[in-house]
Amino acid sequence: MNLELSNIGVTVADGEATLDILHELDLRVDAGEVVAIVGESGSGKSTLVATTGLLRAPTTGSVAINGQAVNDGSLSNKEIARLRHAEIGLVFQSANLFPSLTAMEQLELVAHLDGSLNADARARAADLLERVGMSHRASQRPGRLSGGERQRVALARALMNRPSLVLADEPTASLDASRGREIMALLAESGRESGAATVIVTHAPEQLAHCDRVLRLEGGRLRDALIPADV
Amino acid sequence: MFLALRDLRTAKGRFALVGGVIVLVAFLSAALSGLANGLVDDGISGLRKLPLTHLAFQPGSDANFSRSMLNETNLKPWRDALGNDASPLGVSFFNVRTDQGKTLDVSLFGTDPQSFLAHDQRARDALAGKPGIVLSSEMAELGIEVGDTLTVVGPDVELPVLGFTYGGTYGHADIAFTSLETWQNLVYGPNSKGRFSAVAIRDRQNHDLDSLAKESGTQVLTKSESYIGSPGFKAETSTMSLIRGFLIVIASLVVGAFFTVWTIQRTGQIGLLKALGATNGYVVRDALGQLAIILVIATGIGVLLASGAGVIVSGSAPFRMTLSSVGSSALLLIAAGMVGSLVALRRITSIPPDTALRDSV
Ligand SMILES: Nc1ncnc2c1ncn2[C@@H]1O[C@H](COP(=O)(O)OP(=O)(O)OP(=O)(O)O)[C@@H](O)[C@H]1O
Ligand SMILES: [Mg+2]
Repeated sequence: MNLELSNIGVTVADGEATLDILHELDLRVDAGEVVAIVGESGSGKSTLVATTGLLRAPTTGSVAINGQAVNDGSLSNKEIARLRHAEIGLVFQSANLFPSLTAMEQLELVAHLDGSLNADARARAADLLERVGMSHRASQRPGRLSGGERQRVALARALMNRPSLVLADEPTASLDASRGREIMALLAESGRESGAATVIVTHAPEQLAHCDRVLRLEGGRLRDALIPADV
Repeated sequence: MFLALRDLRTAKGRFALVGGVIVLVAFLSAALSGLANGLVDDGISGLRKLPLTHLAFQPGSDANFSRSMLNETNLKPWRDALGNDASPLGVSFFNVRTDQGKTLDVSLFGTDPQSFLAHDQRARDALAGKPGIVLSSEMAELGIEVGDTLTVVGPDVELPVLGFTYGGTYGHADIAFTSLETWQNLVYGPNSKGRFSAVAIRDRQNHDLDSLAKESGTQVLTKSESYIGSPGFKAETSTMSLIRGFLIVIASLVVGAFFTVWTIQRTGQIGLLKALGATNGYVVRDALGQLAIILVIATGIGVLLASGAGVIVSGSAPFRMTLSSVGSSALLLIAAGMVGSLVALRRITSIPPDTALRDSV
């Protein structure tokens, strides 16, 4: 699997004027690669995640998965939703778990979305919770879980559909440093294991050690930043 | 409805609130339609209980017995075709005075002794013998007994009470029977020329009633079509429809408003579902399914409560609930709720998936 963004522009209305959030941005991520994106607040990192994760269409440029363009107008909303379900796993800044679902059900829901919730899917969900060390809390709702536990469940949920691209938008922002490192390690490890491409937005320099490449978002474009070994 | 069902389970309080409102609306609509139905039925129950299937009236009389006048010529084709299953019927409203000086409204039905409406030998004997009156069974509760004498106010004719028969009312007055001859005497005096109001018909063999009507110079209506001639029937049924209509509109507004607010509150969840790859169809099915469950349960409870209340008041007020009227108003209510919710659907489908990156649920 590879992901290729070329010449991406995202322009939004800002009162009378327009605002270029992303501008002539290029990004290529290959299977098994773990890429970190850093940047100042308001630099457009979340917008980049939304565009890459097919949550929003860019104003210009193309998003291609395995060489196939997905934003050239050939896909309906429904097909894009299906593609999102099939290819992409998302981890958010706050865990964004459904309050009424148990940890286990957060994962089962992903399978239910495409009607594939069966015994196999349940076994996979249990397996993933085990991998993030949450099996013992599987029947708890998010209200009873700590921030770090929620983020582990969210990570397991992101992997539930065997995504070829995992996107994480500041997944450790609401966690303390050691919980943050754990989540980063889990993310990077699961990406390499499954061969998924992984893109992690972060602003904690100490966490970059797990990443193969670090890119800085500045002025709407990505440029190479310090490689992790230098941190 | 994976998420919808679990939301229902965990946010019981919130759903109980809107459920309670729907229960009340359903209760009101079922109870009011029970009362309105009872009122309407009070106008025609006497006619409804008679074993006839059709009535033939004078054309243009709008099923109004007082305006319809027929004679032997009109009866003959019916008699020839149906025998005793066609019988002349005279219907008029009278005041009668009891021995104790109390006056009562009666809707007096006159028919002949061979009529199929006289359903047993006692009734036939009563109609064939000396002039007298047979009262609806409800009038026995007023303390009137067989052997009492009732005076028909107006013609001032005294008639002995011969017995009690079918219950019910017509035009909100209890029904009573006399022989056709007695009825003709009361209405027209000695010079009745065999006139009566309508032909009561019991069609058991699918006769060609239309051509018989043509032949006899009458207009034939089914039993329920002829309810319209009962005094007040039209006004009562339209009042009832108006009340039900209003309740349906209220229900759909209440549900629409609730669902819209509920959708706004769920914006984050819906965005998240979409971010995880749910199609619009999935999200809409989930939301509507949840609403349908609330509607069905709440409407069911409301209707059950109304039936219970109906049983309690049925002695003192006219209350009539039929399975079909309850069923249809419940279905209408559920449908109205679903229609009300449509305003929120556009909101659901237009929530962008990248909401999930900005808001947490
Ligand atoms: N839909 C939108 N309409 C208007 N402005 C937007 C929209 N989405 C984002 N922006 C603006 O674009 C800029 C980039 O937003 P974005 O959320 O991508 O930044 P970020 O790098 O993720 O910031 P942070 O680190 O604070 O999360 C901000 O100035 C934001 O106000
Ligand atoms: Mg952001």
